[in-house]
Amino acid sequence: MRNNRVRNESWEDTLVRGLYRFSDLTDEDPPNVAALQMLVARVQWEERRRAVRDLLLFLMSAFAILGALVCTLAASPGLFLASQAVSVIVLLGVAAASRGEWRQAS
Amino acid sequence: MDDEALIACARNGDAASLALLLQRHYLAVKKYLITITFSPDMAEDLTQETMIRAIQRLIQYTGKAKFSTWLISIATNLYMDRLRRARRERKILEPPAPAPPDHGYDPEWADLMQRLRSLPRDIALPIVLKHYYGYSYEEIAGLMSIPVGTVKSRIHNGIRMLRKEVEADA
Repeated sequence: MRNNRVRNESWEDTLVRGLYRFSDLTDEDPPNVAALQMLVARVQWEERRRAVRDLLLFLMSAFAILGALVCTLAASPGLFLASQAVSVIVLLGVAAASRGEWRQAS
Repeated sequence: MDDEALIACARNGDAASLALLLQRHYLAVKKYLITITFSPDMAEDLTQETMIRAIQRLIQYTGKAKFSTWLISIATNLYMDRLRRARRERKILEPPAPAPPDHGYDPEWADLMQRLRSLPRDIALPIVLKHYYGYSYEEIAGLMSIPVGTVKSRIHNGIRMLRKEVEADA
């Protein structure tokens, strides 16, 4: 048992020594701050662009849906109420399913 | 300025503080990635991706763990994603060329390193995290998003595979 422990330690020491030497970066410098600052600016600009694009898509979808609802209400109130009821049921179902996924993920 | 102060400034939109913070941790992340990927080129790519992901998700950093630990978890997730993608595409991630010998060349560790690199990536990774970085089984399970039991069995099997080869050579 003691021999096994000694063999374990020496094997582990060899591994640690090998990985330390393999990953030695003492001769290397990190990128300079200016280059990283440009990277930060670029990434943040792309994130803002993505957020604006998503917002525009959402607004367009919302207006399209509202437009359809207004037309339906104007043309046929009964049909409008029925479609609203169906939408609410579908949304509740999606919310319940998503809640299950959230619980699982957390 | 310490990390907490830089993070606070970065969250307020100070790009220079964020850049300084990333520069401070850049080599540590790269060194970590070299030890788990065994490929300096892949480590360089993943380090860049880690920095980008950190910039995108700085708002999600809660401060519960050290900033360096948070970066390490991002780096590990990115590497795991790459492994999963390679498996799905049935690609083999090229093992790196052996390191050239230097003045302090030690055949024993070079041999062990070669054997470690030849192990499947998802077995070599927990071995390195446990025996080089000293993470607990639970921490490794969290980093790799696998159960603790799987971590233990991979480490056990991996070490057994390594030692079987070492003993066979002896």
